[in-house]
Amino acid sequence: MGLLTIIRKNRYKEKEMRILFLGLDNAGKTTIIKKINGEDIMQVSPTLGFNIKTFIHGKYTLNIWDVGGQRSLRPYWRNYFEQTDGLVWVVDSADRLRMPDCKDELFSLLTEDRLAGASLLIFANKQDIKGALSVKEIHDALALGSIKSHRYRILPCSAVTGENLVEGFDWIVDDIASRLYYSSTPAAATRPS
Amino acid sequence: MSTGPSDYAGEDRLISAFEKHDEFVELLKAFLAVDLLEEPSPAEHVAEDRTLSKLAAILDEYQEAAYLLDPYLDELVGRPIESLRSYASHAFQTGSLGPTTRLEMLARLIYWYTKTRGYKTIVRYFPHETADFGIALGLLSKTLEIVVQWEVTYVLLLWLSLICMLPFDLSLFDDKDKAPVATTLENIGLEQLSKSGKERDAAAVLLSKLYIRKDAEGKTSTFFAWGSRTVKKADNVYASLGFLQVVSELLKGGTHAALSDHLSDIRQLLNHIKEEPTLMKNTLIRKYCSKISGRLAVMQLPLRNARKTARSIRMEDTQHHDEAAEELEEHIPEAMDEHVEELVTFLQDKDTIVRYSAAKGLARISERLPVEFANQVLESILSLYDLYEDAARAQEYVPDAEGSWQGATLACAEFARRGLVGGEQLSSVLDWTSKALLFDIRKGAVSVGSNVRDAAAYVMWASARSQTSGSMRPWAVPIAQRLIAVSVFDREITIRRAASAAFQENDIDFYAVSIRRHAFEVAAPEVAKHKEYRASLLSHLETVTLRHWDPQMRSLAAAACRRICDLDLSTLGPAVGARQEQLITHPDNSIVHGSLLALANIAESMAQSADPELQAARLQVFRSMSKIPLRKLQSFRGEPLLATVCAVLGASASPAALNRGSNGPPWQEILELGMKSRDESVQDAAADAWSRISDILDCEKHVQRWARDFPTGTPVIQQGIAKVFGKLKYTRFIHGVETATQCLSAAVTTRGPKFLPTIEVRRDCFVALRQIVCQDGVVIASNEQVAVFRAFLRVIQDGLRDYTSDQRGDVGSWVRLECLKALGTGLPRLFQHCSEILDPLHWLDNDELHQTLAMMLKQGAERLDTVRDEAGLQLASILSAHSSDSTARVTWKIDGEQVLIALCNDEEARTWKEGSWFFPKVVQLLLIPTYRSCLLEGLAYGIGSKTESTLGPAGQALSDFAERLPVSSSDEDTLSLFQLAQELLLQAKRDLSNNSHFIPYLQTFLVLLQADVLQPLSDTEEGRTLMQELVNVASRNASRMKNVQRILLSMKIVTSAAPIPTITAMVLGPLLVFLTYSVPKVRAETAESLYLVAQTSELFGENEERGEELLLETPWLNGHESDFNPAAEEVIRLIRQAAEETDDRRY
Repeated sequence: MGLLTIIRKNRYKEKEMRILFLGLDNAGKTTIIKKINGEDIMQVSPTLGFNIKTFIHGKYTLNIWDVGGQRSLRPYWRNYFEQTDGLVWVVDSADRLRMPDCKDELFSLLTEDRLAGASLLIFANKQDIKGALSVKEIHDALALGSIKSHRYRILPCSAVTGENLVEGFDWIVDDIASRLYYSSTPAAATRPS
Repeated sequence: MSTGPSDYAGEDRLISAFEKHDEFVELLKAFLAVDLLEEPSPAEHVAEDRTLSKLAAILDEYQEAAYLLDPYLDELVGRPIESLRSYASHAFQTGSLGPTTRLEMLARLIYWYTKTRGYKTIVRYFPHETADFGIALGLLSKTLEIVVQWEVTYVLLLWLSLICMLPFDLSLFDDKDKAPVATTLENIGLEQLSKSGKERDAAAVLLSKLYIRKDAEGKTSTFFAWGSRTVKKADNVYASLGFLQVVSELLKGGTHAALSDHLSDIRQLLNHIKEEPTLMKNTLIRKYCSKISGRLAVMQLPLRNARKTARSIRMEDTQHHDEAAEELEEHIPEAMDEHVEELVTFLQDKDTIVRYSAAKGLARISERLPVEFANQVLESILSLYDLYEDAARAQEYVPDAEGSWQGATLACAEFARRGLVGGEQLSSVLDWTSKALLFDIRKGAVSVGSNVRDAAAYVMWASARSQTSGSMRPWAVPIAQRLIAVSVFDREITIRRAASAAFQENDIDFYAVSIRRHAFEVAAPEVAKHKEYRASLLSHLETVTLRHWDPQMRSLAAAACRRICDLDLSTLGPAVGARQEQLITHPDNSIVHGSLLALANIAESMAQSADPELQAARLQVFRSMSKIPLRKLQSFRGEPLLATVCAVLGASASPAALNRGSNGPPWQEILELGMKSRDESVQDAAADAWSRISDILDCEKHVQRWARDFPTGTPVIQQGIAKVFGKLKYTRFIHGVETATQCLSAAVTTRGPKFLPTIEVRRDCFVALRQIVCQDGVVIASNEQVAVFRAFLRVIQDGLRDYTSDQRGDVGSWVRLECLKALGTGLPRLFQHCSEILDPLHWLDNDELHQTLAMMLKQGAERLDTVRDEAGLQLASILSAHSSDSTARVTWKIDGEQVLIALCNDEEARTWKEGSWFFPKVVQLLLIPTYRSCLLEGLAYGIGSKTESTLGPAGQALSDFAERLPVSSSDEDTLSLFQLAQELLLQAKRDLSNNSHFIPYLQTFLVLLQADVLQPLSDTEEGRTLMQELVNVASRNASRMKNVQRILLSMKIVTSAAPIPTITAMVLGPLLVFLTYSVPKVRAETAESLYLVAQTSELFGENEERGEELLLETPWLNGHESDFNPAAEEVIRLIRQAAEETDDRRY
């Protein structure tokens, strides 16, 4: 072990990000992940348990943990918090009824020690459905303005049309990257030869 | 930590892609194509195991760059895991376990992935649906009932650790009749947690995942109870370690409600472990204690700044600290002091991994502390440096100094990485780090401290990354200078690279510093071209590297010093010279040595310039040598000093210096001391100095004196004189060159009255003769010196016949090698200058030339690879000089020139070393009468080497060649088999009583006989006569021979010749002698040899059975005369009888 080992190790650690997808059931978490990966989205059934997806986004390797959102599963969310770089909170924009529920769950996550420091992306999903709440409406419904602990961004999107999905990923990846230690210096640690 | 010389290039090849992907997938496909449920046959098992080893070997290649596998992991890991799952589900469905051989191999492959890429990455590829729970747990329980390889357990535990994350209540999986699965899992986990192998690691992961589950909260109490029992049984090292691993995993990343009740338990258990010497002996236990202590502390501290957790690090954030500091002060638990103290102790541990863990712990704690508290922590870390500062400065070995310095430096690095070093502390940290960067202490023959230097480079690197450019600005230049100095001047390759990595805006190529010499002599002067680094590089060299404990480092430093001074010699030369001169009276010999080396190097540069100021400085260097007392040079281990003073004298000698006899150093005395030194490198240095001086002063009277002293001197003195004779320059002053050459020639003239017995002296004489004769305008091309040249050639011929051997082996080869070099340099010079010579043939006539070439060929055919190689090289340079000079081509005609050239300049650059290529070619030269005799002699020597038991390339080539020759020929020019054998026999007979001469010939004949090459000779009268003579010569005085090797060879010649029709009768007499020999071994070997001959011949004719029976059944080895004598006689009788019958049939 020595500086060269540390540099080498960091060279690939800095390229890896762990992103946690959470949200109420039927928010469209799995569908979003499948859509951005170019997979078939017609066969998605409720996630009983969790999925792990690894894919490359730009310069980075993303490890996406997608955990089911049923009420009975939510107490187990905390088992997935460890070393999370980014949290993607998916909202069913058409589900007006459960907005308060959605807000409570989100805010209880934000008090978690182990999620402190993670970037927060809120996907206002299902914008393609008529009667979906707008970003502004959701922003207010979830009281996002009161979030002080995290850097966040909310984006309207649609897992079906694919609208804004890439933009959302771009934002969260960039935001995480800007925090990451090594990418903050322009020169690479060692010059490849 | 590398301690030895570490100069090898390309130690870590940088791989940039998974190049072996296709190969790997192919192998993997084959590996997975089998049915896991079937037991492989032994052959299949071997084959599959081999495939597995290949897969593992490929993975190993990517160990250091495992992330390259990432894009392919789905493909690589997915399929094996699928196989594992289908095996497991089969076991689940049938309720029974199939054969496990293939399962074990599969598990080993999966383990290998985790080893290469890390289990955290690999575990993600395991399936984790609810159904998998029963499947995986079922297989694990079953395999634990029998004996399986540990990899199976390891992999299944990891799998379960992932399944354990399922967001369902575990009681859902419970079976009515069985214990709850959570309990089963826990039991298995705890059992495996006590293992000494890797299973423990996987069990720790599993248990930590289990215990953080909400539905397992009740279990944590039992776990801690178990832990408490475990650590109290002091010999339970692995179980205790396992316990610590789980705890540390549980504490990772923040609070768990499940643990909050147990924090004091953990603290108590830690305290208990720390008191237990048997546990604390284990490095890993100490590492985990340190880790847990750090994590415990972190948990008790409030989050100070959300953005600073996870992996974010920014210096700007620290300014927020101040605002928040006051309000948070009360939150700092009192226990914090204890944790910090504990970690500072671990920071000085004797093992790096413990220190590193403590360093990270301290930094993480400080991240959550208010600024002034964090500063206090850093203060106490920095105070560790003070403890051993003196030792570090004095480069004196103190056992704990290294650990403390490295620990402190690592902690500084971790602080720096997190942006926790600010304000005034930055300067202390960088100050200490600059010192740490030079921490290099000698301990016996090894170097200590490379890990401290590495850690220091880490601080520099981390600081550059985390500090704003503003805060670093005052430090930028000194740090850059120091890093550059280390990156080009450190002793160890890894440190040079680390420093160069740390110096991020690097002008230094990472690879340019790989090779030490290159770093010093190329990279350093390159960097020094930039003025901002020049002074600091020089100062580093002068204050550090020239004083290094490793003399090799000092010498490289001096060379680097010269290169840098060359950049601005008129300023730097005199300045460095004056500074170094101050040091030559220093009491420490290493320092004196370094300064002398520097002076010698600088004087060398100054000699190139005519600038009067530089010449004055150079004269000053010469005079400064008078400050060194002679007794210091004569003292024990004074050799390096003496050699270097000689070098300084040589480099700084000038007419002015040498003229002022009384004012300067006693240079003649010093050089004479050097000549007489037992250390050859000192003698060389003295000779080099004389070489310089001989261009300034006439040394005739010295030459005469040395030549007088030479014959009676000790071998050491003779070597010293010979070396000087060789190095003197005879052009400006002639110095009595004839006296010198006569003196040297006499010493190497075989059978001459002044011949010297010491081989090293003779070797040095030949070196010197070559140096003199080949000096421009001294001997060659100077018409008066023809006699010197001819004498030179004469002694060279003597030297080429030098086969002296002693306990070191063929030491004569040293002389022969020098003679080959002398010819390879001397003859080309003669060819080049032949148009200036009055009568070139008088220098060397055609016969002499051919004789010389033949002798070189002889060397070329001999046994020692090095000699053969040299002969080839030197012959090549002679031939090329000859063919490129038109006068030479006309004057001397070389027989078989084209063949020789082809032999020397192989298109595929094969050298004479390569026997299997060379011998078949060189034997063809036997067709040229000029070279035949000598070459044959060489071949016989080559074949007859004692070590060659089987037919080597020389013997093979000679017998192949001889086989194709006509048996006899009428004209002189066509070589026949008879002529060849005759020549060999003639040479053999030259000195029958000298075994070292004779035995090789016997061996050669035996090779030819055993290859059935000589047999046709028996068809002619002259051939039979020759064979008779061979048998006579071989078996002459057989019963009185003393050398066993000779007896056995003679015997084998006789037995091998026995079945040749018409020859048999001649061998019967000697055969009887050998069969009844007084030495039992000879009798037995004769019988054995005869038996082997009988197998492939008609030796016994019709009585084959009886003959073989006699040979096999008679007690040759330990029987009595009365047993073997009659048997021997009967054997002879049977052979005679068979021969007579054959003869009858022939006529």
